[in-house]
Amino acid sequence: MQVKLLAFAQARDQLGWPERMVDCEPGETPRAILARVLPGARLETWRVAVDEEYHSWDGPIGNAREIALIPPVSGG
Amino acid sequence: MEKQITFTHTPIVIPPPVLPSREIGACVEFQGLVRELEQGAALAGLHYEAHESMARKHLERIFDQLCAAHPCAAVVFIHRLGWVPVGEASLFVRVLSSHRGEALRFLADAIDRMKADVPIWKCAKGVAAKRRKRRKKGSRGMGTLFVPFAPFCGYSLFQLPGRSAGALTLRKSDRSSSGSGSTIMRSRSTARWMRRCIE
Repeated sequence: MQVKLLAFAQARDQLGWPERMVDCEPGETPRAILARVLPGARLETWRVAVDEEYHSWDGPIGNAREIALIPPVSGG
Repeated sequence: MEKQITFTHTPIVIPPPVLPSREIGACVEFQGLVRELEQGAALAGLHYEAHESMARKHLERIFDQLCAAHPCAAVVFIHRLGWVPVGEASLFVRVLSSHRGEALRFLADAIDRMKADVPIWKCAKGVAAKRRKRRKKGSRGMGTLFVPFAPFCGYSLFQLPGRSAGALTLRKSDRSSSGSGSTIMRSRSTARWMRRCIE
């Protein structure tokens, strides 16, 4: 299946693009998917959202349509 | 609770207050302005971006949760996106409730929760430009600096010379219409001021 991968702020800077469709399986985790897309990415300070809900880096994505990489937020 | 959440790429226009009932006794408004100085270096402004649909969804949830703890009648939330020059507002929040305590607590907690969990980012362009210059000279650095916990943003209802302080408007709209007033407070630490006000 294909999932839309969104990158914001520092994540977009590191990846070099704001969004991209990636091939993945329902049993894959965001960590595994990102390791394919951006090998060596340091994820300590980033969070990940699956279909607009915060999600574990190590939880399977299921039938997700969207994965968003969320660097530390700073609204206001 | 009535919730109005808006993201805009144009300067924030503060909507006139609409009272959902005659039982509204407090109207608390807050604006966050972009400040000029960061560690002695001047910024021209900040660039804001958001995962807008996710931000909206999480703000709605946060407001519902806070309303259960601090019952309020309405909240108006406006966040600016794109380029915001120094001195202009990046955020406007208005909370209406019967009594000031609930509205002040709701506002303080809402801003804290937004800064912790809502996918909105600011990028300091002045710092980015400096870093690009440094990188051209051979030093390391990212292309842009995204500010994690808002050290660049002050809060004020009025632009002050030089560094701006923070301000919060507390309006007491007397339900018996026998009088009303407002208080302006300034501080660089918004939450501290709000909590002091509640106490």
